[in-house]
Amino acid sequence: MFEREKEQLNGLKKEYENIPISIDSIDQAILSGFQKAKTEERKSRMKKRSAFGFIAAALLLIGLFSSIKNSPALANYISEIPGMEKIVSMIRDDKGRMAAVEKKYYQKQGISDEKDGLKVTIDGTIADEMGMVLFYSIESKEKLKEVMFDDVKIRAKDGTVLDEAYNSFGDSHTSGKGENKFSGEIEYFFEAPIEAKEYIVELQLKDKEFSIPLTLKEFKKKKEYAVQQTMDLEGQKINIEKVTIYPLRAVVKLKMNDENEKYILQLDDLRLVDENNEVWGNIANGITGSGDKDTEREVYLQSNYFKEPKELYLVLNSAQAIDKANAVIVVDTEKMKILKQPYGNKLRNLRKEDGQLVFDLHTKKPFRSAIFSTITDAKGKEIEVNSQSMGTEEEKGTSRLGIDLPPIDRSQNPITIDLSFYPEWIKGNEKIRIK
Amino acid sequence: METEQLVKKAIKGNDEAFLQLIQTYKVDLYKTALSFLRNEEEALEAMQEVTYRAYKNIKKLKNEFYFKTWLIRIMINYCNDQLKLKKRFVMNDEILNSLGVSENHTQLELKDAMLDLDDRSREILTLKYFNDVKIKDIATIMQCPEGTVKTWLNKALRALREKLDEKGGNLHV
Repeated sequence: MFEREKEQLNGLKKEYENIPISIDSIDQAILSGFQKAKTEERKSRMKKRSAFGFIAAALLLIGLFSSIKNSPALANYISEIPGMEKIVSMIRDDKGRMAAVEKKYYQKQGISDEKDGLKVTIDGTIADEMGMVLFYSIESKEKLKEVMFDDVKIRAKDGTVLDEAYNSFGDSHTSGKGENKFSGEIEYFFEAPIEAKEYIVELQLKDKEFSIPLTLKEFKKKKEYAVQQTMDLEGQKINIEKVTIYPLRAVVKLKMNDENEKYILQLDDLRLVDENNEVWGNIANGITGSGDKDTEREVYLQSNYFKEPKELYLVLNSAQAIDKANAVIVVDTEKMKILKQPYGNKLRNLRKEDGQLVFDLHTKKPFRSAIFSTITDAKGKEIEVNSQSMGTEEEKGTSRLGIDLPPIDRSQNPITIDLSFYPEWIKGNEKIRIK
Repeated sequence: METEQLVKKAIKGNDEAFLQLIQTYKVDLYKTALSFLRNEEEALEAMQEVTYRAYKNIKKLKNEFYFKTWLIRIMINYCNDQLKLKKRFVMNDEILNSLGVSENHTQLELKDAMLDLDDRSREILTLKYFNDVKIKDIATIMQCPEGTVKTWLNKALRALREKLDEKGGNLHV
């Protein structure tokens, strides 16, 4: 039966056997698909450890050239140490870390571990009592198209327990042609201060374990400023409690006033300014804050540690905020309906795409943040989100926001989505002196 | 390394194993995409999307012996969705020629008839005759008895014959 059809189908197959194909283009396509998946994975990995972490993974567009040119001392220093150029290119968007290198607070390590033709080297570190940044390079005998650590553990050699707050381990490195050398940075931050002593990092890469000892020299001591002053944006009050400046970052400890009518989400432009109007802004690439939206919170800024300002101010003009009465999104994933959302009806067209729950966010200008925070089901149980994605459609002025959720059954509906970013702002002109 | 071992590693999150597997099946995947979409650019886009989906979902693959079928099904599902988006987009000779294939009339008819089929029929014919997947494997991956697959396959072939007859009829009027 159907012999003729079967024959024709086989004919079709044969026809495609001889079709000319471009393997290069196919490989390119595979690589882009893989990179897309990896980027999302990286974001979600960074997110896991903090309940309300604002993560900004900005693209670094400022050229290395311009920042080096601006600093003759740095240019000099870089030319003295081989490999330093690469390191500077990784930190060029962070003034604090650039200054740390310039003031020779960067510590050269140069310790390697090698397994089966793969060599991992920690080239150097910048560290303080709350965190450390490790600069690494990976050398491979074979050309590799993709390199990404599977795990980056750290422990104290003497066995002291480290209270790790979070780590992030840089981009996955992908190269279409394949490379023999890769470099990047790993960051660790801790809940409790660490000591300058010997540590061991255990890195997992391509199913191999690399163990590298590090000795950190004495840290520069933090500078603390007790503040206890209030900032006010359209009647919403933020109590700034303390500013602590470490070599790697400045930490602003603050608390939202309980009587606020709005939840204040992201503090868009909180910044340190000195008497010469030099500005240290937020972290451009990494963890920008931690804490909860209605309790104490820490906001991280670039560090001005290596400058000794006569006067230092904390300045804020704009923050994202939403009414407490309407601060969550409630969604029925069966009927595919948005039951509740903040005023303004900005989220529309709820749908399922590729197994993701997708919204369109309508704004005047594209809003480039993944807005969702914790998600809970009808029983109040947290739902683990695999990843979030965000894309903008410039012409339409909308952003496409996706959440990759595990399967949700009927009894879990409706689900409640907390927000960590939202395109509603309160404005003001707040400047308080901290030194 | 054995494919099954690679698949096991890939499920555990080993990127190298994953990429190696995609490399192994890329030509099959690409040709499947091409047979559905008939356009090089769209087929490449499909490769990108399928790599992405496969990576995101590999943890859900339950049986490492069926990786290839699983992967090809992702491609077929993607292509089916794309075809729906395009609705009945009629191919012109120019695009066909750009594929570098000189088509005879029968093949052209066959392709048009395939596009007119329902999703399941198109999927099952593609798996069986284009990618040489065994009926037993199709049954496992679709989680149904082999008998059901055979019934579907017969239905698909019958539907294909009907479509071909329609077209043939039109041509000979």
